[in-house]
Parts: sequence; structure tokens; C-alpha cells
Amino acid sequence: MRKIKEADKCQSCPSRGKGIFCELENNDLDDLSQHKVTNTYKKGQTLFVQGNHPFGLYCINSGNIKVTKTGADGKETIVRVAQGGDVLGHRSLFTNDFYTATATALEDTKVCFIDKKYILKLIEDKPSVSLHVINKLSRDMGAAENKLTSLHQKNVRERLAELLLLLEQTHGEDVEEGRKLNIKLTREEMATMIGTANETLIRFISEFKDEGLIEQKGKTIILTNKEKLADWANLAY
Amino acid sequence: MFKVNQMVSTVENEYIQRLTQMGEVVTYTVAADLFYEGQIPVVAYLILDGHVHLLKGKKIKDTIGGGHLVGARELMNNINAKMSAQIMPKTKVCFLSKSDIQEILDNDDQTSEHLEELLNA
Repeated sequence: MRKIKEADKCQSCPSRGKGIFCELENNDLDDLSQHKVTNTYKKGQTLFVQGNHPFGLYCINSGNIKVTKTGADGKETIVRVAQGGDVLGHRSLFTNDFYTATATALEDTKVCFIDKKYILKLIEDKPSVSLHVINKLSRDMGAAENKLTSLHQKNVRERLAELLLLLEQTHGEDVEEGRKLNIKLTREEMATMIGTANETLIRFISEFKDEGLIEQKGKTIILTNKEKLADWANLAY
Repeated sequence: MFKVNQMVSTVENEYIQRLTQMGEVVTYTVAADLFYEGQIPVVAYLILDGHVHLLKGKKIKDTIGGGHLVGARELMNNINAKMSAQIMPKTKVCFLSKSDIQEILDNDDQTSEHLEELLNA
């Protein structure tokens, strides 16, 4: 096998501390680096497609990836946005089912792929990797339960406020005016994330701006009043 | 085995059987991108039946059918693919991961000899 570039080694990963391999020692990381495949996906390119056969695990190095489900009517819904340190395809790996969603790069995204045979052996041999995978699955489960509750119990205004706060937690960046959402999502994509129509979302974004909760600079959203937004989101503690 | 172009090799029947025992065989029901130009394929694809298009940009440069192995050299040597590959509906393919190929190279003398020829070409 050809030597791995230094920049593509797991030790050089900008998301190393956040990933499922963060507790592996150097020699294990070297072995993992030899077995993985590192690629950069351009915006719009798919890592895997709903209904296809799973080959292994995708570990995000940097960038954002949307995970979508397509309904029988062809309508696409974003179920989550994955970022650096997140893993994708792990559920299908264990159930051996076909992929139940499609993963698409939202921007130029660096992703490592580890084949099924190797990752299953690693999970067997290294308890820390298994625990991190369980942790990810538990968090995913929690997020799915929250989303389900939100869709059932909250109105669109509350759901939008909640989405903005959620994106702030994962992609927020300090700027002079408040917290900038460092993620490029179209209004249509945001609408599918809260289960509403595009027009309704645009109407509520205007309302949020008028009330001084957010500001817009081009396509970028800045949260200017997080406290009021949390109030509008009707968050349960 | 002999090479059809940089990315594709023809595999003799005898070795097809051995390789399919190692990998996973799946039939695609719809067209799908296997890998994109400029990327390293995540697995190698041994086409058993049907067709795979090789594209440069959006232009189809080649169409390969059963008995061809695509992406193995790129996968094992970490080389970016010179073309994209798109699989057509009803195509039967065997996926060979890095671990599968490494296992063949380590344990199956006869097949590994032919695989090594291809990987080092």
C-alpha cells in the first residue's frame, strides 16, 4: 500500500478530539490511517444514497453534510446535519439494512471511509471505540425523540426558534452582533427541517427579524437575542 | 487479469469465483454514482452482470460489463480516480473492501499473484 499523506493521518484530523477514535493510541491510529480512504466531496456530491448497500463507516474530518430522507412522493426531508467528528452510516452497518437516508455534502467536505470488516474488528478489539459508538447512537436517539416531540407539540414559530438555537449550538460562531450560524442552508432546506412550507418559513424569518431576534447578512443568519429566542422556542427543561 | 484502461481490469472466470467469495454481492435496482472523478473509490467493484459507465466530466468515455474489476488499483494505492463511475439499474456487482483485498493478498497465494500484478501495474 502507498504511504498515507501526513495531512490525511488520523493524528492530524481537526476533529480528532470529537470523534469515536479519540482515545486510540498512536500505533492504532497509524493502523487505522492505513486502512481508511480519505476523500473531499464537493458541494452536492453524495457519500451514500438511500436504498443502497452499506460498505462501512464515514467519519467526517471537516465540513457539513446533510442527511436526508426521500418520501414516496419524492419530497426530501433533512433529518440532521452532520459535522466534523460525526460518523455516518453506523446504523446500517450494525443492522445490515440498506441505507435509510442519503448523505450529501453541503460544502466542500473532507470525509474518511473505513470498511465494514475493519471497523467491526476495531469495535470488537477496542472498548473505547464501542463506547463512543454507543454514545453517538444514544445521542442520535435523543435528538430523534426531541424532534418527534417538537413536531407533535410545537407550532412552526416555536420549531423555527428551536432550530435556530440548535444550529447555534453546533455551528455558532461569535461575531460583533451576536452568534453567526456558520452553515449554508437554503430556506427550503430549513423549511424541511421543521416540517413546514417554504413560504411559511420565510414569513416567520421576517417576523423574527422585525422582533430583533435575528439579523440577516445575505444568506447568513445571526442570532442577536438568544434569550428571547429561547423563550419563543418554549424549551422544556 | 489484464487491464482494459488505467482503472479497469478484466478478471478471468476462475478468479471471479474466488473474489465473490470474499466480497459482498449486490444487484442495483436504480442508477447510482459509485465514485467521483478525483476521488479514491471507497471499495473496488467487480462487475458480475450489467453495465457501469465511466465518465469524464459528464461525458461517457467507456462502458464496462461483467468480468471487469474497477477501482482496485486506486483503492489500494490511494490514487485519485481519473474518471467517475456510474452503475446502471439491474447491474450485479461484488464489493471488495480494502480489508477483503488485503486478506486475499495475505492468504490466497494464487489469486494474490494476479491481484498484485494489477495493483502494481
